[in-house]
Amino acid sequence: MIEVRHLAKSFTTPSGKQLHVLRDVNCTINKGEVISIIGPSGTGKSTFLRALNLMDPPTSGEILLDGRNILEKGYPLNLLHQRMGMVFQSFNLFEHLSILDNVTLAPMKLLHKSQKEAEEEALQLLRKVGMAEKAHDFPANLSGGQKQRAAIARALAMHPEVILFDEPTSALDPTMVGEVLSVIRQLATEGMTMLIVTHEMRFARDVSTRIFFMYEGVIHEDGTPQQIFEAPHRSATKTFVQRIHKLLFEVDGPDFDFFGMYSKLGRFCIKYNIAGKMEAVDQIAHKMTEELLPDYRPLTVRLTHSEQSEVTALDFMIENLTSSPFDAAGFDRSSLDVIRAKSKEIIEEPTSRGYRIKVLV
Amino acid sequence: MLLAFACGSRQQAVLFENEDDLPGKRVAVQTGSVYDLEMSERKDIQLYRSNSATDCIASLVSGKVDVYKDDEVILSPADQRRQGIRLVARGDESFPCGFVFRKEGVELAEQCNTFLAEIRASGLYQEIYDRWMKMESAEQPHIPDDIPVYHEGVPISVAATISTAPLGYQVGVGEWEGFEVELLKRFAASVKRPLEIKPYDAAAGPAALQTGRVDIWFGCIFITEERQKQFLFSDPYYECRSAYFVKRENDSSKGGWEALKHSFHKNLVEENRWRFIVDGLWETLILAFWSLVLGTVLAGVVCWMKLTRYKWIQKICKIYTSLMHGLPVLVLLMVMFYVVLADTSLSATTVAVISFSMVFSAYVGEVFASAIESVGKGQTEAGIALGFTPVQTFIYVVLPQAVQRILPLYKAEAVSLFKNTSIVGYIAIQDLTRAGDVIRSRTFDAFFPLIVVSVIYFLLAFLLGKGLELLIKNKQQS
Repeated sequence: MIEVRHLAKSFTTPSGKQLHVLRDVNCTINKGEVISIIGPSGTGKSTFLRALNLMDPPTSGEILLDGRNILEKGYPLNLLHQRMGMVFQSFNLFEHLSILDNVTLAPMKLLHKSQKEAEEEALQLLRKVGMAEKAHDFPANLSGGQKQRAAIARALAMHPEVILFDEPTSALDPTMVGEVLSVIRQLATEGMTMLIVTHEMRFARDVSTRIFFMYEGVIHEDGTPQQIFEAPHRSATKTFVQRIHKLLFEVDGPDFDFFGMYSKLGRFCIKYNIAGKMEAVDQIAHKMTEELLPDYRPLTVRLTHSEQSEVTALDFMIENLTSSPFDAAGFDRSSLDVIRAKSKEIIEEPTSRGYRIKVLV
Repeated sequence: MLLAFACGSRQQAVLFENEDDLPGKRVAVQTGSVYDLEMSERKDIQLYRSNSATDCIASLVSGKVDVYKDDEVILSPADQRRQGIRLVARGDESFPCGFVFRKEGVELAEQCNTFLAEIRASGLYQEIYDRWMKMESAEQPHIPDDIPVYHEGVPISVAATISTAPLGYQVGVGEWEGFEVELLKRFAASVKRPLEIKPYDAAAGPAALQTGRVDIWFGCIFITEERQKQFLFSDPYYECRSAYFVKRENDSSKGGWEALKHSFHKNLVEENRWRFIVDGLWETLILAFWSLVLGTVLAGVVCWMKLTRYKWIQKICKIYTSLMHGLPVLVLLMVMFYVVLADTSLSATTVAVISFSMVFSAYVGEVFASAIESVGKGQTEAGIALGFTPVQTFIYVVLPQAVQRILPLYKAEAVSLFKNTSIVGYIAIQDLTRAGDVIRSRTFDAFFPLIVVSVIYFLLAFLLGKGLELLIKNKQQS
């Protein structure tokens, strides 16, 4: 139905710098698919969605809708928008119109439906999203969740072939997210083709038929929810879906600021709610860098924590080393006992970059 | 309040017999007159300047000043009695008066001189002089009906900076009487051209002549060396002496209700003076209506200029609105009339409509632009996303909301525009305010015409405000 080829978009910042928000996006969207677009902030998810219906036209590339490139000059944009509905983060209801009029405005003016016909259909749609009761209220008197449901009814009234949801729940109180997601979930079961930019991971996993993981301006990984959430192929995907946080240091010589490093490690633990592991992290880092491996420089220290699996790990990487430093002559393996006592597991393994000692805390 | 005004306030009589009594007195003169120059040099008096004889007389009657110095013919004896003032002493000086022409108007001035010489020779001049200047009775004389009036040809346009008997005054809208007026009418007839007389403020006479708005300026204008440097004068047709006027004692005043009835009769019924009010009101309404219409259209243009992508158009818009915000409306009106549009054949009313619309558009256009901006990009995007074109989105989504937001200010500006039209007298338009002035200059009643005019303005402003308010309510309900 929709085919996207080499889509790119760049901005010029006020300081004159070129910002490539979309680098090279390629994908095919088929009828009936429910696609969630996930990824860290600033990776171009919303930009991609808004480029798709030319709300913010892309810089280059092709978007084929039923085989015709909508970026061609002279493509009727208003007709495109009638086929491609959109639901916004900030609802954008027409504030001077009642909810009913919000829904009937476009069908009456654009599809030339009679007022009676349009209102009947609008009431039906409002009933579907649970807003029939509020049909004669004005947007200013509604909660965020109610506004967003009304906005969905408004988009549906034009009978679009696909609906783009641009972070539909990001502007809502947590208590109202559920009611909006339920409505979208219901649309999904009815076979509506949808693209949803969202931060609601569970929703994305449950409702979507496909997931686009966007990273640095491209679709980094594209697959079923199972594939993306349970067995991601790429490390960036994994980092994101397992909500892995990292902290990196390069211990390059005797002038290195160890106290600064310990303090940052401590703050990291507090930030991600693992204050209980703070003492162990501190002692392991101290023992390893200053006592056991003082001769190995540069030494890369990395602290990672996955919010999903709740695994915390301290990695020590020594570049261009092929065998364990603990097996070197004159090293007493019993001095590792202190670390072993503080940790769950110590994994030593050679990698392409060098030798890595991974301590699971 | 009304009654107190009608009765006139009482003041103790201050003695003034002749020029020697001047020290310590409060003296009224017309701004820019020779007496103004003369009296400003005296340090021993308090000088009060007013823009018209009417105002000077009103000051005298209400006791604000002790004596008023002006031409002896500023008021006919009958009118002096009527108004409750009297000529107490004549000054020593006398001045020749003449019609004033532009320097380029040599031909017309020569024709005028020929005409004056002819009527002096034929004795007609004396007849006219006697008719107007010798009158002692309360009966007002009239210009004879047998002077031919020409409607074909280029009219001689005349600025009148006088509005009192016996020299020049109106008895109906555009119906002029008086000594100088009869001379002018006969002169126009002698050259077979139509005559157009427009009332100007005393201070505006020179500007009207200089900018070519009129061909002749009259109103007991003294031929002085200073003025001859700038203008061309006809031969003198009258020698004017100065005089001092004081308040007439024992002014028999009637009781409150009687006085009010009397004022009503005198100001509105006599000589059908209500016609001035009706005609003035019509002029005011026409002015306000077209200014509002054109102003609203221009406001749309200003709004577009402010919102356009083109930086240079935005800059022009900024300059325009700053100018309109920074200039007093009256000054703008005069600049438009005497400078910017002086060389065009646009009527004073058209110039006024243009000026008022410009001011209106600057205010309303700017606010309209910010109202449109305040509707928010989100709703525009939502409109586009539904399949509306940008123009449709503007019409169905942005405009209704912007209009709703701007209506309260629109109402306030419309009422203020309506009231602002009261200054058009400065460019010789006889609107409602000027109608009150004209009646005052005939009846010398300082208060009644003012009160009538105030009440009419208030009622109309109130109705206009209410009407627009209803419109707003309707809009908000729908």
